[in-house]
Amino acid sequence: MKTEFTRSYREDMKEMKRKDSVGASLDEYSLMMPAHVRTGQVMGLVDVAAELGALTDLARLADELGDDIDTLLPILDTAEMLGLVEVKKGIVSLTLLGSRFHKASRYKIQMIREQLLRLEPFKTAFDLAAPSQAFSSAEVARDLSNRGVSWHHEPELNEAAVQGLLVHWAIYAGLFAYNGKTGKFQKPEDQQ
Amino acid sequence: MIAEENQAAPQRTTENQSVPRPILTAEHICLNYKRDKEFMPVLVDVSFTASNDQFVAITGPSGCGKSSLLRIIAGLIQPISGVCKYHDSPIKDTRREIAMIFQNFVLLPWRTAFENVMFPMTSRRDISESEAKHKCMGALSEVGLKNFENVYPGELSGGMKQRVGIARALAVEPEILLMDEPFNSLDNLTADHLRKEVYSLLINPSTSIKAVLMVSHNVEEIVELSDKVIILSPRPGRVVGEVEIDLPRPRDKKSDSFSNYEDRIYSFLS
Amino acid sequence: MLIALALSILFALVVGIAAARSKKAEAVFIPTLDVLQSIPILGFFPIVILAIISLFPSQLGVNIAVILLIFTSMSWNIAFGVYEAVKSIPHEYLELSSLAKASAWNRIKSLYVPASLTRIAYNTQTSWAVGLFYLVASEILTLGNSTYTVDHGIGVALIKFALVHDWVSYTYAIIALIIAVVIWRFVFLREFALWSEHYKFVEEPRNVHVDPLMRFYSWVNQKSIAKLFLITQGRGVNRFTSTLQKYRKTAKYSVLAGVAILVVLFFYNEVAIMLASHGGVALPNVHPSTVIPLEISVLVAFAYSFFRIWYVYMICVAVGLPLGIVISLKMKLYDTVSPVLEVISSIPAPALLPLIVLLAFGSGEVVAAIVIFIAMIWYVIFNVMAGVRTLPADYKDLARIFQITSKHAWKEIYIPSAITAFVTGSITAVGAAWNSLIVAEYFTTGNSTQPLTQVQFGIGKTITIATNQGDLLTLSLAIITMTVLIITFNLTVWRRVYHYATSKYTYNR
Repeated sequence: MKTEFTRSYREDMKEMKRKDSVGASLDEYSLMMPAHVRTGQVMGLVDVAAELGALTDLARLADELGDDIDTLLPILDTAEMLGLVEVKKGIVSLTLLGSRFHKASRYKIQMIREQLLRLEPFKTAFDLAAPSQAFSSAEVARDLSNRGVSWHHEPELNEAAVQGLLVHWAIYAGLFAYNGKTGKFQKPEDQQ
Repeated sequence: MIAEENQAAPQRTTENQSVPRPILTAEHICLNYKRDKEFMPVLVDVSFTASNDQFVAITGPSGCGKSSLLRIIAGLIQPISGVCKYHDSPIKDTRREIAMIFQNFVLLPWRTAFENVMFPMTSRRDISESEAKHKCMGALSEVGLKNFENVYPGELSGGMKQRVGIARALAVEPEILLMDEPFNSLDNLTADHLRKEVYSLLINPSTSIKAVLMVSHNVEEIVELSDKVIILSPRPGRVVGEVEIDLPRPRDKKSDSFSNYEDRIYSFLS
Repeated sequence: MLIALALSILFALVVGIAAARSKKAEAVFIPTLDVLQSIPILGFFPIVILAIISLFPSQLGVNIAVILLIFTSMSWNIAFGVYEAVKSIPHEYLELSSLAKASAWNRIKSLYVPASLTRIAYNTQTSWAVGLFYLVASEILTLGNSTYTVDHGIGVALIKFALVHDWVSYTYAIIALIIAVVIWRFVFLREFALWSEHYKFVEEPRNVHVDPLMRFYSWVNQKSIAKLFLITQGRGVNRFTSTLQKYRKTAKYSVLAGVAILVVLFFYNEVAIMLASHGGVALPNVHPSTVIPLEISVLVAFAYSFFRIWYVYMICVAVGLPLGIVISLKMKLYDTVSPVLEVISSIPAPALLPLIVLLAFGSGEVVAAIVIFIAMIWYVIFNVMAGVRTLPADYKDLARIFQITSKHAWKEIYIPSAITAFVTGSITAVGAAWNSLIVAEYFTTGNSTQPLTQVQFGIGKTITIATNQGDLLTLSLAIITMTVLIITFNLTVWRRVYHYATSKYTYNR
């Protein structure tokens, strides 16, 4: 399932680049972040790519990390979606943003807020977060699946995927604050 | 927008070039394990010191007793003979100046991240609640988990859980930090990333920590992080080697000197 | 006793295997077993006795009745165990047997039976204790109806001794019982359990200390509760509980309303009696001896029993929870105390009844409370102990390293860690309490129908009297009411409590 998803993402990405070049609006696209990728993994990937320099191909990457390609691909896709790396002919290289990201020592994820907001479920969540209104990941999941965007066909699992992504990425990026007791997200205090 | 901080890792301070005074010493530690009326020696005559601003690693094949050694230093168990000393006073029980980070995080699942960090403080009488709260929020921020205060451990990734564990230890402002295979339960990429942060997080002028002792079986991680490595033999554990690592930080894993150190440690292990 | 066990195992094998291998059988058997398991045995007991005795009015009949009852108490549990065991046989083995074209009998012999052995062994241990309870209870009870008595049986012996105040022989008999139980438990059952470990499919690391008692108490209880509440693949009861989910709010309110009604009935009766005894107030008195609607009196009896069980439960919690935690935390204490507890817990409460009566100064209420307490406390204690034992040692280290005060450690670490196990134990304990009422609330002995001890009102009493008088109407009414109410309570209240406890208080790493 992961590789399936990856393929369609790559096609999306190509489409998006093509449309970018003709000035089409990004709103038509819903780029989905893979459900199980976490910040630590992307940060780790960027670090390794930086260290290996120009010699980073997929096989070498997998070798270095001791992970198999299946595990690695979604992480790589995410890094690409966030504009941190470029993959050309199987060679992984850091973008300028990726390089700055690698060198930053704290609050890295905040650096990529803009990139994050182009992806789902963050885009929709951000739209739902009208000032001081708390929302739950269930609402976000429902909104998205009504528009045909979902990570899983079972609603419970879909919601769990959205919840995981929101907790692990959006909070880190400072997009929302989260209350575990109520299970709801809202805009952080300094932005209300 | 947050401005980027492009810090190099802080240099180790050497005020005067004389021999640094040890903060922690282990002197001829022996430990036996009782099973079915028989005594099996686990540690035999283990001695070493840890000084100011030192990151010490303890390693050895599995079963060599390194975790038990860590627990003796923590004051959780007592050796059969020999003594551990903290600033010249023997360690007979756990104490506030020595904190620990666990391999399996050991967080309370029914408490939020903030409440977990606050947990040790709630038992203390010598600190006001607002001050405790301030320290804990600060610790969470230090480990990069600002805004995660109200999240439950069940919703955190492994790397985040360990960060909460680190924040919990930082908040009590210990002098000695013990780490029991802290990266073992994390996936490779997350562990990789956390290791880079750990040194500057723990040993820097603004923390109270003066020495770190880490038990690990990952030689690469040991060379990446430590100033001194104590190598134990297979059971019963004896000290078979002590390696001082004098590489500038941040350490380049690809360099020859790095590999040399790795080889030296491996040679003791085989 | 052994006959019953053999029958149970046979039944269990037949039903369990059939259910595991055939979808149709599964759809029928499992929901039925689910329901049967949750009906308090109390419900079966008198009906079976009356029915069998009317069919075989002789020694044989009585013995059959007793055997059948014990069978009832044991078989559902074992059947579920077999079902689960067969279902979890790794599919490679099933494929292997069909490739080898093994005949059905062959398959049963070499695959299904060995697979089920562990479960059977473990379930036998719990079921045994339950069976023993009913053995002694039934022997003693049938004595109450003077025409039908069992000639031999430990229960009989105990009662005879107690009646003539022959305390010396009584003590000997009790000791003999204890010794027999201990030998049986530790020698046969434990060996059976350990031997059956050979037949497990999963390899466990050898240095794991196998503590069969703990394992089966927490595991078996969890499994039976799991069947009762948790959603599994499309079973009949599941559909019922999921529709119940839709009406959650209404269900919640109806339970509250139900409890409120019970409270009202309870006080109504008290008030009515009080008023009546203070002279001529024209309130319909709910005293059983006057003419009142039968349904109401049954409900009142149920109300009394309901509250009785709950106050005894509070006592159990206050005693069992801390005790269970304390014992499990200290290794030395645990090693010395738990075998002792095992032995004490195997003495069935009915055997001690004469002793209890003596201690309670003849107060029926106190006797009932003590018997119910004995029935409940072991489930609570053993489950709490099992729960705390699964707490990783790191947590104790955590408390010491960070200088957590004892009070905080209890509040924040030990008690929360015991909660899921505690809930499981509570559910089973309350179930056991309902079953114990038949002995707790009304007890006759000797040739007279004058009860040795009784409470003022209680459903157990109602049922026993009805049985003794052959009053089928009251009997069936009581049983149906009780069963329906208990099952409803289980499904609504317990289910939510269990769900809450597991979602918040279990360790997810």
